[in-house]
Amino acid sequence: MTGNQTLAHYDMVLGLSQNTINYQFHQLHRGRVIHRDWAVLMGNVNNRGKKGDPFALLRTAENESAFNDKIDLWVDLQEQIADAFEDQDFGEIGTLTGQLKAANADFDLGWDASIKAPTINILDQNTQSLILNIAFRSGRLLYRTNSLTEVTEFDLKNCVYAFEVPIGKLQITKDRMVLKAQEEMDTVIRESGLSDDDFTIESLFLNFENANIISFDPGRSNFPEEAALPLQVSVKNYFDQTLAGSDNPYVLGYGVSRRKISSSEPAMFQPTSLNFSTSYSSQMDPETPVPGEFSAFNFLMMLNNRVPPYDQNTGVLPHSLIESGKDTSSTMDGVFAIQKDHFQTYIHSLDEFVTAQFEAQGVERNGGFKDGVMVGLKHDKHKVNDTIDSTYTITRESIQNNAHDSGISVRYKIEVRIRVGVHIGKDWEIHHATLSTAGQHTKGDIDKVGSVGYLDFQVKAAQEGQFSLEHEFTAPNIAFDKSPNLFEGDAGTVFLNVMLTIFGGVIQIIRGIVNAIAVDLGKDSAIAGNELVATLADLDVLNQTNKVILPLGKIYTFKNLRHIPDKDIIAYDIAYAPVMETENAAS
Amino acid sequence: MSLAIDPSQQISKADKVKVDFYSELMNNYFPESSIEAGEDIQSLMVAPERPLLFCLDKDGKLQGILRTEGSESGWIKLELSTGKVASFEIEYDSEEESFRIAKVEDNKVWISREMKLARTNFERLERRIKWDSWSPATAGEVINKVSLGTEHALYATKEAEKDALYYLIDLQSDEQKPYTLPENAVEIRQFELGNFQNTNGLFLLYDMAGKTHMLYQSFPIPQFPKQTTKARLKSGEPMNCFALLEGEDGQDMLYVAGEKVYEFVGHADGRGFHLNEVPTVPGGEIRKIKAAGHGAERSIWSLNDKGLHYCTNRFFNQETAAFETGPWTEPLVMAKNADQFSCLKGPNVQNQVFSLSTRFGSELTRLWQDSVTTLWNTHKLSVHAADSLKTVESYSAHIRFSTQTRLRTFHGLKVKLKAESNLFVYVDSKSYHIGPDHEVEVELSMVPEFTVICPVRDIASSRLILGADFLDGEIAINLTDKVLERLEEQAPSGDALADALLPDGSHLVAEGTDPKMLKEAAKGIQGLVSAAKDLRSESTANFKRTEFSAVGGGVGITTTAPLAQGGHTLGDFLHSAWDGVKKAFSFVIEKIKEGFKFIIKIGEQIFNWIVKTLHEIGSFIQKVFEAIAVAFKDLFEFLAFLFDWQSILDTKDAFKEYTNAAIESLRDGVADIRTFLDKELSKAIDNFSPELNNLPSGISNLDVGEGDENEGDADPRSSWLNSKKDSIQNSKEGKISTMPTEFSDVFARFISDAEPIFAQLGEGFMQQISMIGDAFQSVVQGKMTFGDFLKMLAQKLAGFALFLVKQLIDLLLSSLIALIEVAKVGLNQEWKIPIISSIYRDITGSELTFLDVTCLFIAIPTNIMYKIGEGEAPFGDDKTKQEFVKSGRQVFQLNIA
Repeated sequence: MTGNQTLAHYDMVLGLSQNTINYQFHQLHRGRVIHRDWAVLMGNVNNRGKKGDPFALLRTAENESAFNDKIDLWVDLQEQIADAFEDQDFGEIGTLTGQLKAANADFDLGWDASIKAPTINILDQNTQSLILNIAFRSGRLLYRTNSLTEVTEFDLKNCVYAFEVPIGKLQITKDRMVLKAQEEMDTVIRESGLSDDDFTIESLFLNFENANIISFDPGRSNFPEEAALPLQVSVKNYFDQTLAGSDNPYVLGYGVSRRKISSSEPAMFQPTSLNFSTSYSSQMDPETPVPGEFSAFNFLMMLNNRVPPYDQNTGVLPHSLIESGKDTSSTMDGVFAIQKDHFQTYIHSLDEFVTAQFEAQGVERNGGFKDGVMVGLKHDKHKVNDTIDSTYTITRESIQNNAHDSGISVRYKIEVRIRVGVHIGKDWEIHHATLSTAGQHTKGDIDKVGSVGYLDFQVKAAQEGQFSLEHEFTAPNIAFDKSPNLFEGDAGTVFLNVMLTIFGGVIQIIRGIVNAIAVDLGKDSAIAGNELVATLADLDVLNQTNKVILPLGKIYTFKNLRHIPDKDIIAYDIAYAPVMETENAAS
Repeated sequence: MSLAIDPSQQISKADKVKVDFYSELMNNYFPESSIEAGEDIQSLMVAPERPLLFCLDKDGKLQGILRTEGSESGWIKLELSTGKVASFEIEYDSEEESFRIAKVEDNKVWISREMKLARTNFERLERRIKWDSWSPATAGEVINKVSLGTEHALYATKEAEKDALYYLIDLQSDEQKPYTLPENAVEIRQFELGNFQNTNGLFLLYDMAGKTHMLYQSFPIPQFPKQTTKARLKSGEPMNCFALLEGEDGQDMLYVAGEKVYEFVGHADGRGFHLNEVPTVPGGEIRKIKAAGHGAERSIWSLNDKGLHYCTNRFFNQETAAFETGPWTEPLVMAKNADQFSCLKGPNVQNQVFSLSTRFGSELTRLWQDSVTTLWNTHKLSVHAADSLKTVESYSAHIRFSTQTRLRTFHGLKVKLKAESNLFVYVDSKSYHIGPDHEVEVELSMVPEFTVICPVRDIASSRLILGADFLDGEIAINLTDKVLERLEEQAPSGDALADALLPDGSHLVAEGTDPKMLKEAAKGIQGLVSAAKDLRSESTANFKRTEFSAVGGGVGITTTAPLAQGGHTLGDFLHSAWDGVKKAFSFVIEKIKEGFKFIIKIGEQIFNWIVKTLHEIGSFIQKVFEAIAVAFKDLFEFLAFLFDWQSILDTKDAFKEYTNAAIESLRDGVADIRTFLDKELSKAIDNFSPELNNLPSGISNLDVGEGDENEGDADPRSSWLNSKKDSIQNSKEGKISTMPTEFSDVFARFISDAEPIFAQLGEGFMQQISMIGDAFQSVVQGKMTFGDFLKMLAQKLAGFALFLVKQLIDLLLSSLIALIEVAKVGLNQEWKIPIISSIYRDITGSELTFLDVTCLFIAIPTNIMYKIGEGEAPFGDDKTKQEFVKSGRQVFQLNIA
């Protein structure tokens, strides 16, 4: 399977567990970030338009007792009106209705309820929608059929109100996420790119709230039959009339404020668009089976302002990414994956880093890495006319997972070949010899046979989307390709001395490279994501350790960086672990 | 020892008891060793005023150090592991008043069963403790850390190339479960169970990619068995350690330290926090931090290269002289050079820490603040060690009771001892905590005297208060009298201070110190001394308003930090280490109704404190000396009584030679007795009595049981060695084995040979023999000279002789002769006894013999009293000594024939 197939034509996908979303909702509810109590009275929603605009009274901490009194008054007067109507006492009805209006209590419906934590269900066979359930812990729905009937009360305890949220129609636009019709493809990418905030549970919750206006799902809801209709009317009116256009744009009406996350540095893999889908999985951990634990809510991302794919199968991942998780314990919340092709960007930056190290030592880059190989040249002179021409061949040999699938090892092989020409005058070369990492002949201080060198990197996920880069250097050994003993006599001695001097120089270069790598790995540096390639090319020495590689580092932690060959992706286990920000810094 | 004494035979108020006491600043020695503590120390108050300290010893083993009133050093050592312990933790459950210990030993986690404080015999903790153990899932994992909660325990493992893990142990079910971290962490540095965002979980500090990261991770809840809350916490600076403190809302407050300390105060919705910087003394990375709280009050202790600092939000407002809870005080360095510390946990414990310094040998100090006076108390810990010697700078008070009526005894009577402020003292070589609320009962023996040694770190000390049923009222003993007198005499003026010399001839005050400065300092000292006199006598006769300043010449007081508005109490001020920026300071002292008002100006800052006790005044004097750069060590040498060891040793040698000569003469004497008995026994057997024989005069009257009543005045200097006798008695090796084997062999042979004869002789004889044994103990304890012992022995044996069959006489006499034969050898053999051998070796460089000991007991008081009385040492000239030695030869010359 190609990475493109694995990730359904998206460059990167973050699969967040359904159960994590539910747990986070549970925590938001428990911490009262999601308000538990719903109470509102609404008027002019029956026979709308004839008697004036709809109006609503929301219960707040300040008006609580007045609100409760008003419910009592409404219920009481409405009962008297109904009695009067039964008695056909229209004078009385007029008086009572007058009282109702005077008290601003001429409501059509209202509710006073306490909700449980909202939950979602990811659906089998439907990657574009999910179900958002609002279940009532307790409460009542109050409803009058018309202005002459008494108020009917329904017990809302254990009722569930289910919405189908068409998440496939959600897209990020310039200002905030709103529902977009499918045909509206004018995706406006925020100039600043996506922020980490867009990936918080709070944002998700707000998005779900926005999405549910038209999608009440009676099949999945649970109401007493007789309450279903009034409740639908109530909710619809509530959403349509009460809150539309109000300061609080969210239809469920609960001011979940978005977590304040200070923007992190643009990552190397900064997403430029965001879509959503779901992946249902029936898989369960045999030891501790929990339904839905492998079902994922997918954040589908594109890089470098590439246009997101759009067709029938957009966002339909062949498998939930969470099934590819390595650590599936309670610590982890999902999986993040990048198509391997895109991860090559990072490998190229590593190539560039290696190239720069050689360049800093005076080796010409000679075009840098091509197909994983760089041939660097260096030309030196000794005692005016003697020539020393060195060739450094650096081959990126392998990219493979480490022994524990918790990081990726990248190996560069270093081969060196040196040609030394001893000259008399500028043009008359009297002798020449070659030394190389393949050389088998030793003499004097050149006492080891040749061997290639290696630069091994181990790349692991580190803090906030950064990588840690550990390196190990195996120094190459250089020896004569032919026996230097062939050079006898005075000329030979002279030549050998030249050799030894030169060899010393090579050692210097190698040492210099090693030192430079060690020093550079400790430095701070950052690069902007959008101009990635250009920036990379311009960087003399690219620092690989303190640069942000992965996005969303303030919201998710990444670990177990690994290559999954059969899926052609680079994957990470992720945890929803926001960086707690100080209010001091935010203000 | 505590025989029931008939109360009618005891001294009462009617006997008009006279109390003599004398206190001196001097060196003392104890058979103690410092506590060698490694990486970590933790502590728990197991009973009122009874801390138990846990630490690793130098071999990495876990040891407990238990406060034990009335033991030799006051602390006993408990061994809590057989091998090296990688990590340990103590958990105190304040609701159950119980505790547990967890340790990592042998790559297993061992957790003790829950132990109730009230029901645990802590002296036997080693044996009573029951451990359960847990191991990690795979053999390659190395346990590096353990942490305990009341219901759970945690341990962390690491493994080369792999990620760190932690395990949660449910202490109810004993089940354990491993957990991963959300990042590829290499090692968990620190973790603590806590509450955050309405969940239970743990705070973790771990290493990854060369940096340290802080994370909170909750444990799964039943509805969500695979989900947890996770939050990364950042202070914006490198983090090194953290501490949790349960907030009033049940959520933990977090204190994270790097080079600075930050307090994380969670926002109400749990999604953000406010970061407050807690003031610290700059000094590199903070290695350890602890937070303690009591209601809204919080204290932070942190440790860096500058030492152990303390900072609290119990802010003392000097203007209103009241505490405010809110702003943090400026941090104070409470213990310089500290390497480790532990805040004491336990019921009703507040602001108590143990601090460990290894920079100049291992030194463990207990530090706590009196909640009323705000004064800080310090107490250095050590454990009893027979073969070790510790020099302690101390006030030593010798207290003696006497009465004209000699018919009744002090034996068995009790004296109550307490102090105006908390002190850790030794009463006759046993350690006690005394203070306003801490009293110790001292039981008097036949000799109604005892020595109180009060170790000090500055010249300040409070008064001891004595009470007893036989006394009319309480008697206060000023430990500092002599020192204050000396100060008055020797530092009357700046010139006198400039000229003051230490015993080694060097100057007390650095030469070149500004004379104006010294003049002011002397004025201050005299003012303080007269204030002290008034406090003591509760009058205002001596004191005149004193004003002085230490300025000019660049020498001034040095303080750690800006102190004004720092929220410090007087106790904080007096305890704090004064170093850092030098600042001029001046004092004004005024008498007011409640005591003395001290107005202190340091730099531009003014402080007002009211001083009520001698202890505080002493501390101020110390500060004045600090201002002229005189350290306590020098001040001690200047003011303390120093032993003139050379003349003491001369005196001892004279006694030693005298005794050796006397033994020679006794050998001849016994031979005479034997000849006499052999010849005369058959005819004189019926009418022999000691009186008929010309035994040396006085022998018959010798009373072994009572000590010498003919002492001089109380004086800790002359009774210096006396105060150490208990070390011998209490030595673990047992009494008789402390006797050189030559003597014990003779006794043993005598007892075994005499057994068949004793069978016929009955009880009375056994009693006599045991009296001989007791008498010998008296020699060992220095209550009797060896010469007197031999006299007594001769008398007892001779007296018996007449009532015994001949074979017994032969046995007795041959034993006596054998004893004398070995005496000279045995007495002059090296004798290892606790403390005294070590002191002797320290002073003389040579080994101690049995005879040296007995002679030293006599030589020290003789020498000191003689010198005080005569102005010169006895045996100053050789002739006197020769004559004295010669007189020894005549002691036992009998004239029987």
